[in-house]
Amino acid sequence: MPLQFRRDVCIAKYIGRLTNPIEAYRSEMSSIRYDTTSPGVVDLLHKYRTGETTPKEVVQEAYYEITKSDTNAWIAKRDEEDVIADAEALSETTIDEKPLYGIPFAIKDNIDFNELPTSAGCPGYTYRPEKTATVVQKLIDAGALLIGKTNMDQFATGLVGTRSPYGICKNVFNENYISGGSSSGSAIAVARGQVPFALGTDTAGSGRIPAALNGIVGLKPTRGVLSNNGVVPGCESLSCISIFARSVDDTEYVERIGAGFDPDDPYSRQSEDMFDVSLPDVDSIRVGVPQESDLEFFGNSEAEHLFEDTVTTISKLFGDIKRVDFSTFEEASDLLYNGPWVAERLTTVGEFIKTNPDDIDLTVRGIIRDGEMYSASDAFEAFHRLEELRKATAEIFENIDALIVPTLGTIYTIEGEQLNPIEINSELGYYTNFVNLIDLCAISIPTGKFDQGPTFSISVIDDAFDDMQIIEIADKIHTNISQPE
Amino acid sequence: MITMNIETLQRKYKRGEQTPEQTVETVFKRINTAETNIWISIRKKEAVLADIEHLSDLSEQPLYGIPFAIKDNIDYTELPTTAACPKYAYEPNQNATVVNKLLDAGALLIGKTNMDQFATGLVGTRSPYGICKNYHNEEYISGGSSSGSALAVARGEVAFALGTDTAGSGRVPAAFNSVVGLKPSRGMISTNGVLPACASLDCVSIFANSCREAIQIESITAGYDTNDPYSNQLASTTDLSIKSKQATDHVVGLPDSQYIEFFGDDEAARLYDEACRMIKQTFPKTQVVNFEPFIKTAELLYQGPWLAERLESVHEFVSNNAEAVHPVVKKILIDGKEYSAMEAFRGFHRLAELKQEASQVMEEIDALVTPTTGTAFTIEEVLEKPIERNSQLGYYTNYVNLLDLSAVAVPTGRFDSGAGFGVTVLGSKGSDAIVSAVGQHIRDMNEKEESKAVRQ
Repeated sequence: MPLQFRRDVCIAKYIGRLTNPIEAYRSEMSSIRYDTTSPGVVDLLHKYRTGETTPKEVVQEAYYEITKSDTNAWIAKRDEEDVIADAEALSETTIDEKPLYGIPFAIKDNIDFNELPTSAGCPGYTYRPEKTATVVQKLIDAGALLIGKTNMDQFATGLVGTRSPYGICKNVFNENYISGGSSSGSAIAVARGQVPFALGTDTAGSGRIPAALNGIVGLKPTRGVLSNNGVVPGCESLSCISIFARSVDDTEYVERIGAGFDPDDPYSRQSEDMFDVSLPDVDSIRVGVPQESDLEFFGNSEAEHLFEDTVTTISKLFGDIKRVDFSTFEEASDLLYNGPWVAERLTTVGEFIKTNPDDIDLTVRGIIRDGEMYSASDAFEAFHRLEELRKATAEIFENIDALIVPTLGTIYTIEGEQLNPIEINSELGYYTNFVNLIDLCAISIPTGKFDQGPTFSISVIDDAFDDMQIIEIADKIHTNISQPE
Repeated sequence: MITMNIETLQRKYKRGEQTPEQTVETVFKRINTAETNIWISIRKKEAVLADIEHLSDLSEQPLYGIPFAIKDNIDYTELPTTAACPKYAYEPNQNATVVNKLLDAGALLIGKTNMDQFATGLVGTRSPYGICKNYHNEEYISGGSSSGSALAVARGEVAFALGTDTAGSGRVPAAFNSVVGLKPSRGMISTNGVLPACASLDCVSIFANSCREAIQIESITAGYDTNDPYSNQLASTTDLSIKSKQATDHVVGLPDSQYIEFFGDDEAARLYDEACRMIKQTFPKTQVVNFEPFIKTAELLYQGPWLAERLESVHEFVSNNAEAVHPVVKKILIDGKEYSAMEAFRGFHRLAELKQEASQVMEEIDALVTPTTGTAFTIEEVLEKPIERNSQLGYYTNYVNLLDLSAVAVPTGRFDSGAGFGVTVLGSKGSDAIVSAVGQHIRDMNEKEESKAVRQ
């Protein structure tokens, strides 16, 4: 629930309102803590302003980084010369006019860009879009430089990163482990410092799981805030464009620029008011976590300890933590893959799967075809149940300002995942599946590290349109937690 | 002659000119179920009179001593709920939330009214408790599904009545019998204790003699209810008081003629033209708007997966008791089985697109005025083609709940046959008071013209 109080640091004022927005920004946001030697969005803008580097140099570095590592993160890249030409054209404008001046970025390959094909991770499905997706166009208009399109679980069906004919995406910290998905390539490109931010999509957790495992931030905005026009959706009524970056503030910065009502997207919503809220005083924030009996780590005691450590830190920041009944969220999660929403996936790719069954990943095909089992009557029954669950969770959110959960309860090796794909996928979604169904917003931030390498992360979750509040809370936690090595 | 409307009764009680007991006596004198088929069950007069003893007084109870009826798909513990299917009948162990609110406000429940079975129909002919006939001409249909509730108000048997409205059941019978039918915004009045037709779309609706009275009933019954999953907080943030002075300031939209349809009924076309002429004279700000998204949405309701939602609540009963179900209702419900979940999602996606288009239209105006029905049918005509003619009756009503609008049906004229003709004032979600104000103004102007005509 939104509370009333002022947030001193309101990024709105950095977008074209101050004479030197980036300086002001940096002085207030003293610690951009996410890892890597590569600069984030705001860092980079600062460097351009001081003349430390130029968009052209940054683009060249990005291509060098991409070429030198073989990560399967990319499905298609623009020609370096074209991007450099775009970078050079920026010299006619200024950072004050273009809030993403010279910032390289990547998009998941289910988002349209008119110069490159869209494959959704399926070569046979590939088409040439006539138009660029609304959000991508907004970012480009703001001066961002699109590098290319990233690998993904086919048709955004999976939370694993292994279901793509363009190759398995490996965890950046340990190649034996999964990267998570479905926005695997976008997360990896950011985690490896190839681009400061990237777009993914998120239906069941695809914008959060791969962020969580690869040490970066994943913001899943409120549904309808970023237009879905030009996106091949997982589930049209649930999917959102998501944002990967190396700091919480970078995700907010990009969300503000990408947001906006779009009459071309039937699920677009008015969100202007969302960004101009005054946010709760940190001391008054009431944080909830699932009661202990509802926590699931699937036998991974290391994850359990990592979460306990995080909860300790959070309770130091926000005082008492409320333990909430998680079973309502869990039941909603179950509806997504074990209910009629699977049939929603058929509306996008059902026809293609029927005529080209051999072009589809076996697991993906199995999941989507299960949608055929459900009747309209089943669908309505599930909607009615979901409506009841929404009412119940709304009551929980009356008493807390944010729900904090592990983003995922354990980590998996690629080998293990391949042996048991469906079961592992549903374990992966335990803390993420319910978010879009219930109409919440969420942000995943790393708070620890497994011995095997992958990061442990938590998600901060709240009601629709409380994006600024979860960002504030996540930022507070993030700047106060010792950064994973 | 006792006038059975809320405002008159309130005035008389206040002045001590009449008592609730006298009102109840009149109610029971007027009820003549054998001829009208209006009621499915009626409380004993003694029980109603006993209720009066427990009333406090006028100042504390805004509906002190006001008699009302409820459609028989709304629960009241003393009477069974049948939904017009005797075999389906059950004894509810709780009152519907909305009924409790009315009783708490001092209203007197008289009984439960006839309806198209399972609220499936806009005709008033699909009930084993008998066909409801038009108030003005017995050969014509009353309209449905809330047929009995509309007739009880039209005949002055009660001062107001509750119906339900999914596809137009609270508006079509209001139009044919010349009463007001208010369909509040979805989620405003709790549907807890109401047997669903389509749970995600259903609303409790209000029949009364004026829009002013109807919105008064809404303001008393509206409110968030944790027991209704589709209830929302709108009631706590919405002003439901009519500011009648400003009614003519509202921008009134009229549909472009391309999608206006009277099914060959020239008389209906003339009646609508007359209503439009009066509206243009009265409201300085009128404008013609794109009607296409509304009509395209209407097609989704009866030709799309929402039929499956109808089946959901009575699925088991219909499967096990096929013989107990009205044949036309059965056919409609069984058709719901045909749809897959994928088709349901396709329907939702299409609806989302149309909603976006319709909301762009609604942004330009405060209220949209359309005919309530494009024509009127005799009972014989409906029995001859029950499904086709039913869907024609929904042409101007089916889209309203799908698009999440509020609406009030207001009588504006009569066919030569006698059957009522009217218009519906539509507004965006939450604009219930605006549509009521505009509707009330149309009604006032209409009555002025009528009395002028009588004097001449």
